[in-house]
Amino acid sequence: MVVNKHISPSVCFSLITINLLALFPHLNLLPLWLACFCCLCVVWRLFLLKKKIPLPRTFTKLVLIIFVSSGVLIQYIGKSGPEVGVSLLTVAFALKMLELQWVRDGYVITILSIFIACMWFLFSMTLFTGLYAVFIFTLAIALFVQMNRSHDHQKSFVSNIKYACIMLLQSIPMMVILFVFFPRVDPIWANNTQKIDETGLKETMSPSDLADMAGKNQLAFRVEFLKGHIPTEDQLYWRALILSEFDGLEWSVKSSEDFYHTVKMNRPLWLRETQFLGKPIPYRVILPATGQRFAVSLELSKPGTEEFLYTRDLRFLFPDKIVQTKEYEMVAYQKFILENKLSKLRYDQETKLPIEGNERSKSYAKKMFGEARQHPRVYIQSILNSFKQEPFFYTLKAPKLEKDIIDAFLFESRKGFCAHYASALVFLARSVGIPARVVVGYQGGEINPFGQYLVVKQLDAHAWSEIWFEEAGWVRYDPTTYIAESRILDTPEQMAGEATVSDDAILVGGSFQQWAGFRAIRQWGDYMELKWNKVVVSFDKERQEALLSQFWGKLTRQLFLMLSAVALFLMGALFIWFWLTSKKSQLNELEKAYLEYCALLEENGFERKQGETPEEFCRRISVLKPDWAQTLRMITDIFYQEYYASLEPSASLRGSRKKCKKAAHAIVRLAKSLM
Amino acid sequence: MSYFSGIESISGKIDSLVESWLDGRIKPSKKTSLKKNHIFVFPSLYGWYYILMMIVLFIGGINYGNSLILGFTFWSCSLFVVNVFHVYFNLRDLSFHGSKAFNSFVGDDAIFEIIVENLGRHPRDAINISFKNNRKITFSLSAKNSKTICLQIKAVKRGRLNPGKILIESLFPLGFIRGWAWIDLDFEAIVYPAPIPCRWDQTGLDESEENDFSFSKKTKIGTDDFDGLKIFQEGESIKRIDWKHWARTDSLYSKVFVNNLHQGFSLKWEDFEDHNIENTLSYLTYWIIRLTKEGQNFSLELPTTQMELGAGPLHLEKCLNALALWHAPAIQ
Repeated sequence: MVVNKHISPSVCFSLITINLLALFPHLNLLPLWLACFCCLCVVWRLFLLKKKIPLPRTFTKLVLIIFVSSGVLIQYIGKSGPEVGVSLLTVAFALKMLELQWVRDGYVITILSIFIACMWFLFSMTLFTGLYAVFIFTLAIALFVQMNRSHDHQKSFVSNIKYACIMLLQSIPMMVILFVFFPRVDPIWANNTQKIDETGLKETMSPSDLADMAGKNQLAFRVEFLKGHIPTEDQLYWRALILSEFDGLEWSVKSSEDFYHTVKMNRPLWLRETQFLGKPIPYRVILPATGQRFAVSLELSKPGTEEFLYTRDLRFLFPDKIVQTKEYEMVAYQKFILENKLSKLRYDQETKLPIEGNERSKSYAKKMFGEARQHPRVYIQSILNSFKQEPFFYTLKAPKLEKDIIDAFLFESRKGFCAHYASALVFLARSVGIPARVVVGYQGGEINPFGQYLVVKQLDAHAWSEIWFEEAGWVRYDPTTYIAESRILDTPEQMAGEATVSDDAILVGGSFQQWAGFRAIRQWGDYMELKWNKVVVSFDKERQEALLSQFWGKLTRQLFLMLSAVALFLMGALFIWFWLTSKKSQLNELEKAYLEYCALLEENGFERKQGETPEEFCRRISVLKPDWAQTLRMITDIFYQEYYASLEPSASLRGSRKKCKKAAHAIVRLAKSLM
Repeated sequence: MSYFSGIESISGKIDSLVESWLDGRIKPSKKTSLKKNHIFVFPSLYGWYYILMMIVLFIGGINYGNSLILGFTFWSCSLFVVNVFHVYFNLRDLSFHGSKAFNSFVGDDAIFEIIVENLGRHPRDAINISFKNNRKITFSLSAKNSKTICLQIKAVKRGRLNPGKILIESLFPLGFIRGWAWIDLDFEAIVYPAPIPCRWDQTGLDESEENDFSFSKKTKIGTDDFDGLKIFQEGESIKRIDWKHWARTDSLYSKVFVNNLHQGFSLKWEDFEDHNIENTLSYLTYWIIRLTKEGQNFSLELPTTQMELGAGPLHLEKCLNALALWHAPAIQ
């Protein structure tokens, strides 16, 4: 059926190119030696092609295979998951280059390159990845076309690409239909493979960790506000972690916690007693895979119907580690009363401090509390005032503190960033018996003008405190805001090179990245990325069900019929289009009309002889039946005229089709008039 | 042993079933155009590789819940279906006209000329054409164009040769779907017996090149054959003057005619009788070709047919036909 021939050099070259392009993204993932090896294979093959040297023999290939596969296995010993599989596959792919001789190999390599390009989706699902895969797919199709053209009819690379693009565009409609409607079944075995961005917050954080995050320009999450109105920056406090335990050096999450499940209907008493006041602000968070379990929520969010675990301090957790981009909706209330009464247990939990250490701070706290006449709010306010009035500086390059860190910060260095201030404030509050805790999360965010959504980056990570007052519950205090502006030495934005500079400044030597125009481009890119994620990437089983049930609920039968009609229409349209543009169909109409005329005559006893031309037939019958002569002449003339006119190469398709139809009708009409 | 022959006989039976089914669909005709009911499509071997890739991608996409992989799986699938259309339209409405069938000798290749026409606006590429189980010829045609293709088939038996159905096949554009059609162009060629050199006892001639045919050249002045010009002599008949020559060169020449004394060779069946009639026919074939090469007259005498005395290529062809078709085996 298919002959096994050698592939031509041009095809070989294209294959090598596509091999390299498909491998390219994976080289990042492979260990260095393996990446080099793959490149070497490809280059080697190119070399062999150029120099027309025969390919390595079986023995050499066997040695290479053994060497490389053992290398891979050693590298990945103990590990499992897609990295191993993909590595092996890419290595096999690279080695296949050395075996590239026959047409069959060409097909195998091209098919594999499509497969490998798709494998990259396991690790990155950005818009760019999608486009790159489309690029490789197009090249692969063009390669198939090139391999199948007859040898005397080889066309240029561009024309092959054009053909490939046409085919790809033609296959888009069916692809969309399948994408939306094909049932997404559940996975056969559980997997978590997506590349996890581990630059975000973690459950145990020290101040220096938080400082490290200041330099990171990566996306933390995006938020869409469903009622349109985006809160002002000072209202955007995103709670992620609540740290209630202090061991002298670090704050950490409570070791023993009660978790409540949102889906369960019976809410605990304390939640039922929590008051959510004011206007509800519904929003949707799009959170990339973090590998952690916590979900960020705007202060203060009410548990909804999403599958969360929540704690007493109303922080939310996913049941499993987040390994895929998650989207969830919540409702926030800016006025709230959370835990307006504390039980003894809770009180103890939230005022606990290590017995030793930081003595100076403790006595300072007592002194200040005395001065505030034991009023908690006044006391807190006075501490905050002292941050403003006394020489406290905000800097990300604070000195590392070893022992008695609160003392060292408050009385010696007086230089720190949000974590230091929050930590100090909470310590001082707890020292005098006021329940307080450190909250770590994100503050603020940048509004994307194109999509009207909020982009929160890792550098927006922030720490603040929540302090409990009788009857008022937990109240947020952000000590960082009290630092005098002039004493802010560096900001996270500056660290990441993010500060916006006006257009004039660029002329004075501002960096290109800070140019406002460039920022707009980046924002547009982010908007595209968001749309891509929403429409394509997160279209999983739940989404599909939601989409379909939306329709299904309303117009089940009608929709089904409409869909089938649409599908049939599309297929039919294709057929009809091709049928209409086929020259033969016009002639068929004409010929059919003529045959009908012959049939009519035959009924009356005048049979057209085999092989008799219309002209001969006409003449013969005219002699036999003279009173028909004129009509027969007309019929034959029309037939000839249209028949040969439509065979003209210059005849336009639509015009001649109409004429043929007219002629056909005329013929039949005239023939019938004879009877 | 019997197991294999059993399989062979089964496949042979299936083959003949398919043949007869195809025969029902295709009517032999000198001019055919590929239409819907002629064209079949089915995945090729590479198509199965592609399908395998799609399945693996699909499983991977479902398992990892990866929307993008699934998207590409669906796109590949859709492309596969679109490819079916492309293959179909690459073949449809191609018109084949069986124009010439060249006669040949047993053991040679019989050549059949086919004119392919593409009347549409859609260029065709990489179409293979061949007789069943024979060597393929690949061609491509641009829009509104035609091409002449010569297909060959080995002539195995003497007599009438019907080369059978022709396979039109294409894998273009992607190579995953094979589209094919069988047509029957109602070709018929005549296969002459293969010439075998031998001695001809009756005349003393043999296969060697040094035979002396000069005795056959003896002539005398007569009226039969034109033998050249000679200068006009006073008193000769004016009827013999070559006037055209005079018009050209203004000199008078008259035509000379001779009668050939030698009446011509008579090839008889009995002279070459052999236990194998094919050999006899082969010997006769050899001699009629040889004699024609030497420009001799000959007549042919077969048990049921006779060919008159004659010479030249036309006569040769008639005699070859007679030899080829003499009690010829059934059409193959």
